[in-house]
Amino acid sequence: MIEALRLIGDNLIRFRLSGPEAERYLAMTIGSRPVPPAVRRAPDYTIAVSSGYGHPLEIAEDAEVPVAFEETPRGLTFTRADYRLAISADRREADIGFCDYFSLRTALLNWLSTVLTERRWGLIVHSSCVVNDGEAHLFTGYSGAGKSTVAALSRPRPLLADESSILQVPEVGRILVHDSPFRNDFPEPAGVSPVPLRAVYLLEQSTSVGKRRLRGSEAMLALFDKIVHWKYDNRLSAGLVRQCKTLVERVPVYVLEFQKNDRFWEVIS
Amino acid sequence: MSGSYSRHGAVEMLDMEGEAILLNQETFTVTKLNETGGFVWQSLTEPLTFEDLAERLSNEFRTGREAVDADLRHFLEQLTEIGLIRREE
Repeated sequence: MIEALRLIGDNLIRFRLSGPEAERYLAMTIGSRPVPPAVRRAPDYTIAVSSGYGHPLEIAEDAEVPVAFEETPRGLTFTRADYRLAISADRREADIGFCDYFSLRTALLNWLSTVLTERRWGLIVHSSCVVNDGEAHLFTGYSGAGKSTVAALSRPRPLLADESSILQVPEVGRILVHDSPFRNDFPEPAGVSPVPLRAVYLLEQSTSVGKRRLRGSEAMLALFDKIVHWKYDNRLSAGLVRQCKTLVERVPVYVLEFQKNDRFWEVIS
Repeated sequence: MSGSYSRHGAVEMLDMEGEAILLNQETFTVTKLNETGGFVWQSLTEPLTFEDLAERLSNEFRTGREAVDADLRHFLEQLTEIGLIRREE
């Protein structure tokens, strides 16, 4: 048994890993950044992670794969061919069985989305997120729209996320973006976190550069299917929608036409 | 167009700066309505027939029945098809 502490958002998590393979995959999935000494306290959550569960999916990564859900007095269980996630009734402990990088990553996002949604803490959004002048700019769009291209073109600005952004939606005040450990191409920590969210951009590749603000209802429709969410309880889904509504009410959402160069920062800043 | 129309129970309406968005909690999908669609949805606090709805629309928007009937029929077909409203005989 190997133990590791990790910070995701403002949650301190103690991982209990079944062995070196689980340790290696955890590092691939959420990195191996040490927890700063200032955050050392009793962990908020404990997650046991074991390799050797199920078999890898033989389909494209972004295809919809059904997840079986069960709720019992002992807690919640999500099961898919390639992972199993069990969360205790008090939500403080979880057990993950996985078989590869993709399954562990999905299981951890499934876990995070579930606990954050239940606490009405915030949202996970498929997007990259860049810090400019102390404020966060979030870039989203369909697969291939250019989320990671924008992240690459924005360097050396700090990146809070390159594919899954973690947004805290407080009851009052600004939306905050936390440094996401779920990274694809750019593992370097942002070094600053959390950062207030200035604007959201829906990416459209174009031959010109420009931005157009969306009305609230358009913004809501555009953002809604970018939320990372495992639906299992109608009331929770409704809560998530309200948080998405709060997001578009507090933060302007634009369509950003961009070419594959960094000129888009001229129309943003 | 006999029978009456009612809202699907698991659908909730959100008001976005005067525009209506319907959330289907069972399928986790959202649908944006225009002003007329929002009026029809808000009218359906109780089951109503096509005639009831067409009359209300015609009065609200001061539009002739012919235009209202065509639009309303199309709207009800669409919303029934995507499961946001139900028609009962």
